[in-house]
Amino acid sequence: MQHLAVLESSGLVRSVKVGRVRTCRIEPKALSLAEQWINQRRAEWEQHFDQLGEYLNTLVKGEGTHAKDK
Amino acid sequence: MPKTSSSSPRSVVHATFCIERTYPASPAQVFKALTDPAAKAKWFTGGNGYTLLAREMDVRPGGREHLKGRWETGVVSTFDAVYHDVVTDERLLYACEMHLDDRKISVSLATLELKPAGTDTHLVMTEQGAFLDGYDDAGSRERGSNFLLDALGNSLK
Repeated sequence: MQHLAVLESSGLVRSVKVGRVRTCRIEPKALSLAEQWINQRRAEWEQHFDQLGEYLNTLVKGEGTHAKDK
Repeated sequence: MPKTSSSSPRSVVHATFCIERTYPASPAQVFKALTDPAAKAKWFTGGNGYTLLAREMDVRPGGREHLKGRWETGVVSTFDAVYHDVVTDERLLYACEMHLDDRKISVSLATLELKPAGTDTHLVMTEQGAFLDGYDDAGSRERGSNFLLDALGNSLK
């Protein structure tokens, strides 16, 4: 139930309790938009960190002190 | 005043993501690349179709970073951050908000940790965010998809 509360608070899942039965349903729109947005932010950072790696490679190669095969 | 639309009700999604990398460079080199304006400008770029409109950064507790640019779609993205914790060669924390045009799309906390790993440096970035309703526009979605396709392409190389 704790996990369900987390999902509900995120807006990704809605649930209705009737008697002893709780019925959950996924909010497809919320799920796809939330996923899309968070994946996008993550992908942007992955790309930035790739670029940071390329930049650092040029630095260490320039120095010639951190010899490493690529 | 922000416009309201019946097709996009107000929403907040909280999420955390974490990215880890190991770089063949010293923590001092990585720290400089993250905090020196000239060094950061060499790698922190928007890529094709992105036109830089403004860039300022002042990395110290209470210092600010501002980055604004226009995408191919015409959408202007703005990043505004305040640094809260700066430990030389070890750690950076900043709180930031992002806008697409005049829509606020997220408010988040980012933590970057640097740890020496032999002669390399291990970088861990954690972003904890509140992602707001304003992101639901065609521009950001198209951009997101392009990034994802690029990421997929890179992973297959």
